[in-house]
Amino acid sequence: MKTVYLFLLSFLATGLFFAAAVIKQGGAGLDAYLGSVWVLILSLIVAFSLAHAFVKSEDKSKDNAPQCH
Amino acid sequence: MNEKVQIAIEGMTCVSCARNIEGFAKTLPGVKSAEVSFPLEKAFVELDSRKTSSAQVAQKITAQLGYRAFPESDESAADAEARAHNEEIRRQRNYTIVSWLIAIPVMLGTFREYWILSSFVPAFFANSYFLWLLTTPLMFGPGWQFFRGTWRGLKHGFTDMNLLVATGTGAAYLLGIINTLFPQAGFGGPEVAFFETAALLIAFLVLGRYLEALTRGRASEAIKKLMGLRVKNARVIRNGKEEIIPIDAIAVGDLVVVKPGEKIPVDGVIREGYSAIDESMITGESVPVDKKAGDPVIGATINTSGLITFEALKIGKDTMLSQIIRFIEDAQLAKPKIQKLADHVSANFILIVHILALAVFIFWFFVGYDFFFTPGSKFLLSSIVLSSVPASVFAVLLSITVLIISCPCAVGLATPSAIMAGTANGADNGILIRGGDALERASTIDTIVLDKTGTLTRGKPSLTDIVSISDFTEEQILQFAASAEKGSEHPLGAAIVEGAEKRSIAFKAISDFTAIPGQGIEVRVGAHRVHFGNRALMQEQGIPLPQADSVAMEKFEEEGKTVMLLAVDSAVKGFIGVADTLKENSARVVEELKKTGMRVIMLTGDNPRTARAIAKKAGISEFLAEVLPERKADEIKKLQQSGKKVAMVGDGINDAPALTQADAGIAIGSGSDIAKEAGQIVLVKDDVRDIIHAFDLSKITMRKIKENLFWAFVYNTLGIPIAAGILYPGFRLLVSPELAALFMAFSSVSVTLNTLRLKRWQPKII
Repeated sequence: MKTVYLFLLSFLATGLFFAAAVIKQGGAGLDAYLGSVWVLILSLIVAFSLAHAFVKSEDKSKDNAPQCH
Repeated sequence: MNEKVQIAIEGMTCVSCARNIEGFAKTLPGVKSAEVSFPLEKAFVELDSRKTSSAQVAQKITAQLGYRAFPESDESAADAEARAHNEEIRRQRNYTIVSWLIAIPVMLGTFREYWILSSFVPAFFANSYFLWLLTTPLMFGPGWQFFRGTWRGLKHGFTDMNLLVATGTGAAYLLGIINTLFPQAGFGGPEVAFFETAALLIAFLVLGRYLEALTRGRASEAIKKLMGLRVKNARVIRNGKEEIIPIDAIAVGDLVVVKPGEKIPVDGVIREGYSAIDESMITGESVPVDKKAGDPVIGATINTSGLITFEALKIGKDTMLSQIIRFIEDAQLAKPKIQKLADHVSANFILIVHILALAVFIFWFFVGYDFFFTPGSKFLLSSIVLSSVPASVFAVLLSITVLIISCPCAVGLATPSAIMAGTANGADNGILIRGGDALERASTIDTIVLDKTGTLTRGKPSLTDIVSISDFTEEQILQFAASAEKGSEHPLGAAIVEGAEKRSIAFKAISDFTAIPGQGIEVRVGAHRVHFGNRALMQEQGIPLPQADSVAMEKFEEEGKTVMLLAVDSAVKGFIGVADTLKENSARVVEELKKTGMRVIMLTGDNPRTARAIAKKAGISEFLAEVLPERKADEIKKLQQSGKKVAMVGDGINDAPALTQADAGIAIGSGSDIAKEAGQIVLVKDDVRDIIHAFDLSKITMRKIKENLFWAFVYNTLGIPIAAGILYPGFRLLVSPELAALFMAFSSVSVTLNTLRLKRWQPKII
């Protein structure tokens, strides 16, 4: 579930960036579109890496959990 | 049943790949634990052999992750690994050639308007469609490995350095296409097509991979060299006939024949013949060692002179060579504390770098561009003029540069590559170091405790003095004493016999041998009745000993020697002194240790008188006598509690508790069973000088690790802010992505080259 939230967050961040770029430049120019694509790429990678880190830490905590015999 | 196996892996590009394979291997059924070493290009896997096998694990790594993995169970696998490594070097070399053949025309075309290039570079080279045409095969040829690696990782939930490169080069290439197809789009137009950025990025990164493959191969060649010492066939005696059989077919107890010039295939004991054996490849000892029947031989050493027949005692994994190889491989996995920071950085670098790149982009897009950008700006060492780029392109370029420059591969390589070189160089010289932790501890030692018997001394008594108090010559005294002791099994007697043999003294025939426990022996030599033993024997037999001679004897006893009297026909003729003597280099080693500022202490179970005598000869002022073996560890503990960093040098098996207690336990030449040694450092040869060499090597290796980490961190610490444009507002200085690629490639290579300087280390002459 965390993974889904992370990916949704990256889209949200891109949306926010786009909105801010439009406000700054007074319209939806190419600059805002190109910037948004780049922000989307980077934030998706960040989300992917974070999701991967969460999966790893969950695995670790499972490994450390007391085992029933 | 749990089994430890090794899997060779080709195709890893950075420490992140190693971590990813490790993570994947741990998820496989039957795998208990997995550790992957990037510089060694190996996975060390503990598996349940009922559920899986090394071949299955290797096959899954190959099939699902795309690396080339081979189980290291047999020689063909080792050959396959070597072939794959050579193939990797060849492939990266070809990629490098192709990349530069394309990147140079792209560069010339891009910069045609500058300097004198326009006079010889054809005009069509500057056409952005032509540049696109040239760059495309570069992207899909040599550059494709980065995209393939990225996809392979993403498919399995991994991110690695390939992703950084793919993002950077892909973005530059796409910007180039947009500017070519839509020159009016507002991203700079065909004048700043960015194809050269993509082309040079790939060319530099591929060059980096090629250099890294070359240097990585060189760093691990020590282990390969040791593996290469293995003999393939052996000549054994079966049913009374000599047969040549593969080495794997040798059984314990087989009699193996080795001719002059041939290698000894396995470990054993000589049963027939004598020869000088060159053991330099195992012990580092440069002079061939004379061996006769009863002496041990080590597999992979060379029989230089005579024909010998020996009984195989250790085969396969139990041979000294196999144990040394395993020792070094395990050592190279054992991480020192200093690596934790580097590991932590490397483990999260994809995340950190992308967050950084995102932050840099947002800053330059919203703030930096408006405040600081001035048309006509240039990249460092580049002729590209950023005259009309919009905020988005400018910010993308800077964030690409951050992505490329941030890869902490040099940080990841800094420690393992130095440990690998240090431990391998040690092994070449008969010094086995149990990994980074042992190196780190050995480099901080301020107190060294030396066990007396077998470490400072030879560990067995030898003849030291012959004193005549009659008309007998010293030679005659020794002749009578040695002849009398010839049949004795007492170690003191053996020392006297050995002393006589060394002096080529002929033995006399004896008869009526009687051993008198605790006193000596009585024997008939020719027509003479001979008594040889201590004072008590003389008193018992009523043989008088003049007072003056008794005083002379006491002087020898004060020196820690055992004195034995020789009486012939009830008259004392002289006495012989026997003692456990210092090894040839002990005193010099103690002096060297003191010179380095170390506190040197001798530890022994012997009485204080003997201890004092030996300590004095060795130049040691502090000694602890009458310390029972089980209390040695307590003495070490006491020193540690007083704040000392203590090294203990002793016999690897008898002194095991003390070696384990010490901050650095050094086991000295106690035979061929390295696996049983307790020390963190094992000296294969029985040479005390190696103690100095071991400390020297550990200090140099630690210095290399620190140098490597310093430069790697400095590179990233300085490189990232510069790439992010920190110098742009003040100095108009910008680093282009291709220059970042060059820095990145050379940071890894320079760390590896710095490490390779360790290979030049030689034990200093003491």
